[in-house]
Amino acid sequence: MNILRSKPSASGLVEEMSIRSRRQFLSSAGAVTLSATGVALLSGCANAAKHDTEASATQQDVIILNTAISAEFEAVAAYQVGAQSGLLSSEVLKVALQFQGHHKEHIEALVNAVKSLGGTAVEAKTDYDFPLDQLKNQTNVLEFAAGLERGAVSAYAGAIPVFGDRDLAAAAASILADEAMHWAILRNALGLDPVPGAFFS
Amino acid sequence: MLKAIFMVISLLSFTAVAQGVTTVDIAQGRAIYATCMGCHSPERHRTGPQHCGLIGRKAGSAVGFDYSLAMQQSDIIWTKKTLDDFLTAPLRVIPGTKMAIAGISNKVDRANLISYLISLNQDAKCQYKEIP
Ligand code: HEC
Repeated sequence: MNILRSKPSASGLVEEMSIRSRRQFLSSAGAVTLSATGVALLSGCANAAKHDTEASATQQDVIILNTAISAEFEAVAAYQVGAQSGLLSSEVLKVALQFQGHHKEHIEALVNAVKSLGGTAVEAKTDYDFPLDQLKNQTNVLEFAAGLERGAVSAYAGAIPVFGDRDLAAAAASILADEAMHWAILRNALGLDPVPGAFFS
Repeated sequence: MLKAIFMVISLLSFTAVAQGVTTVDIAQGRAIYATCMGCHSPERHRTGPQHCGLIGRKAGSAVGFDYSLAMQQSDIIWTKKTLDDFLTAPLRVIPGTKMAIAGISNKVDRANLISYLISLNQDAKCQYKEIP
């Protein structure tokens, strides 16, 4: 199965670079927000209302990011369950671990964004209530993972319009694209139409 | 006179039932619920709380879920009406909620979704767990 081929190893470097550029991207987005807040602070009472609005928009962005981080942690834990289930062929296992790696990268980028906004990032839960009794074979695991990826697309689609900072919305959109690719690959592996429509939310 | 009142009542309830049948579609609602499943499931707490037993419950009160203060202090009881408001614009109705997503602007979609959420109270998958 061609689509289930693992990444060429040279991509490690590219990945490292892309993490770095994403970090810069997200932290510079944060810097813009902070300096705008700084200006509002300096310009005193006349702009107090504006400052309040900006501060609460920033707080809201932190909340949105933290909800996304929670969902990403769940995905990492779910792929861990899948990977350790002993139900996956070695080919599928490789893909599961690759996708899990992407979710870890999403978390890293999102946590950095929260920090750059002066917020505190949420931690992973110690325990996830997964429907383990329903995971009896590889198909069950793939369906479970596909459901999570489909849900992640919706979660980002819902979050993107409410970000105060448009750079964060753009970063979330690039994550959404990644989740959508995961979903399509998993559907394909399940023998389903990988792209079942033109629009998704 | 009594007969007239009875007729009015039965007419009213007939319209109510007819409206129920024509405007609310649980299967449609279930399909829309797919967009909630990034964070919710009917029977389990995930990034968002379980939806079993939602109708009639006080907002932010499901045992074992770590709600925002904003939702806990919102003083909302979940009914058709309060769900309709909340799902239109979660952040406007409960500023500071962790359910930080745009709402569902389509009224019919919301009505169908809410009918599905209501149906969960009767659903077998919600029966095995004690609903707080
Ligand atoms: C991005 C994740 C996310 C998505 C997508 C999402 N929710 Fe939520 N939802 C949450 C979180 C987190 C909470 C808890 C909010 C809080 O504590 O402020 C919540 C709370 C709720 C509550 C209040 C429950 C209670 O116990 O009081 C309802 C009702 C609800 N969601 C319905 C929905 C519906 C319907 C959808 C789909 C249209 C949806 N949610 C989509 C994350 C999400």
